[in-house]
Amino acid sequence: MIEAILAGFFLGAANSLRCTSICLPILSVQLLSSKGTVNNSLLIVGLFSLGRLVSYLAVATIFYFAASYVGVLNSPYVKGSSMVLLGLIMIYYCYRSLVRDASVSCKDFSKGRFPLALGYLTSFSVCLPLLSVLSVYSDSSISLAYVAVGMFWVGSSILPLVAVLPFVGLFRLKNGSFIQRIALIGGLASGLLGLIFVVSGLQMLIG
Amino acid sequence: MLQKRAAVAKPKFRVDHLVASVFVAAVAFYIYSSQQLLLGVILAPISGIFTFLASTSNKTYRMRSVFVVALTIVMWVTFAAFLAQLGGYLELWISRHERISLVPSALTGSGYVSVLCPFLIPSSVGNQIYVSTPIYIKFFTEFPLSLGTFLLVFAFFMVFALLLGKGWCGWLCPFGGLGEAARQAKGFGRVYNAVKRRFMRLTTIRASDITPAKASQLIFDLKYAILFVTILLSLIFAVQWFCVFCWAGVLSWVSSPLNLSITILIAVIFFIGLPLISRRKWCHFICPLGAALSLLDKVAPFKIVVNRESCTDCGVCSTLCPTFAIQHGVDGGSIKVTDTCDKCLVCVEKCPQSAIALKIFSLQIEPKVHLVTLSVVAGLILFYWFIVVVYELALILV
Repeated sequence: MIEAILAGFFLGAANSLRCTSICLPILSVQLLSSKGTVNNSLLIVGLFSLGRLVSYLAVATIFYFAASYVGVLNSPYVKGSSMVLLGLIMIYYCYRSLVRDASVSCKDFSKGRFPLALGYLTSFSVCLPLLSVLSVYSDSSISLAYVAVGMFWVGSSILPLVAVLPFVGLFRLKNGSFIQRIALIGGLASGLLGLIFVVSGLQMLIG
Repeated sequence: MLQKRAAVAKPKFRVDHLVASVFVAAVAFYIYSSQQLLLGVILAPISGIFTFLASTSNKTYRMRSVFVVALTIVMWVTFAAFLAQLGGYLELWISRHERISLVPSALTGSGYVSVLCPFLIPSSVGNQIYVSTPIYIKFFTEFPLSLGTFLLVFAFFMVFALLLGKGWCGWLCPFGGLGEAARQAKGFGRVYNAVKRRFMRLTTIRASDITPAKASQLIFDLKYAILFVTILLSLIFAVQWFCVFCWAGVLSWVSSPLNLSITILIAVIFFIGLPLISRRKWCHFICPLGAALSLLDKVAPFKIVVNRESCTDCGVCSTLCPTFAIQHGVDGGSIKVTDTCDKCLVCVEKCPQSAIALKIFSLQIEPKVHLVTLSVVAGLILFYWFIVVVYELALILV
């Protein structure tokens, strides 16, 4: 058990830079555009991370019961579809936050719909370090695999959390016009990123 | 309706205009005679006379237009001549000679082209993280010029960007100069005017037409979102995604007919089509470099100031402003100068009440001569640097 905890944590920590690079663009624009309070922003970060954990656990479950099919997750069709869906959600959020009333999307955020889905879709793939953890510990029992994957999630979440915390601090000045403008730019950036993800996803699907 | 200008101030001769002109002429001679004496002899009086005329004229906005278009033409003709000398295809030429890319990103492979773009720096950091090679060392040692020259160019850009702010786009940008040229190409007769009238409503977004403040803010802030995403993706994924549709990236895409076609289409739409009909939309709503300069403009010394007491809200300034910088009657208020102002001075010189002025902070000094002098000197240095880069590249590559 101790070995699974340590191995999962350190492999996750070693992979943390890659996770940051994937999560930061998505999470930072959502935080910028949410116009929430500090607590609300922390909730977004937490739910996003929770979405990632759910994704990892789903991958671990698939690996445990159907290891030979886990490679399907890395196929361009699955990756491309995830990316298109991710992009569409971000574009939808951009629409909700800019064209419609921003408070509606804040409400959606507080309910945790978007961050959870974004976190899940961002991490729903099999990277090499995660595969290494799974291949070692899923032979014993599924609970041990879950522990290892959970610690992998903890290790890989450290850097992304540190990277987004400065953004969270911005929301102390919730009602300032400067922050309102930053939120507007964040919403636009979310739409732009969504568009880039959709195009990249379609490119993957078309081949 | 445009009101008749109340009083047209006559050009005044001042000693500082003459001093500035002599200074600019001396700078031009000093810089260019070191390379070619004849060039220095020709350029010194031209730049000196231009500075004098632009400083004393009541139509500085037109002289600015001539200046930036001339600078643009000279730079692009020089570069085209250089490309022609290489056989027309810079990237192909580089790959043929097995020169490795300075920025081996997924989208751009031609480091020698990318190296001229300021967005190279964040993607270099990304490469540093991902490729784990000392990209900075590579960058500096393989840069066609020396590290010292690179730092000098970077310092030059930063200093003039800090001094001119968004004025850089109006007075010096060789990309926006093409749009400016198209914008000035008016009066092509009946056909042109008919086409313009037909499409004006579809393509022109006048500041006064954007009544909802949020819609207006959205359009104005799009460039900041593009800047943010550009830097973020360049830094994190080491991908210069903006190059995919930045028309300046045309030189990087010569080997891909599809991408080249898209880039040329965008260039034609944004730098010829839309400016010909209305204004430079790329520069003020899309260009991320313009957005960065808008941020620097907050601390730049040159400011357009409106005297609220003299202003009659006639709307002449917002109608004439080529950059959507003056919003008239937004939210029921008076006129407002936004961050897209590129210091073209058309509002200053056309205001019927002389209610708009160019200021250097709140100092009581003549600002126009300083703006013109600074811009002309920066233009001279920019063009000199460009010649040096092209010359050095030619020495290395040919």
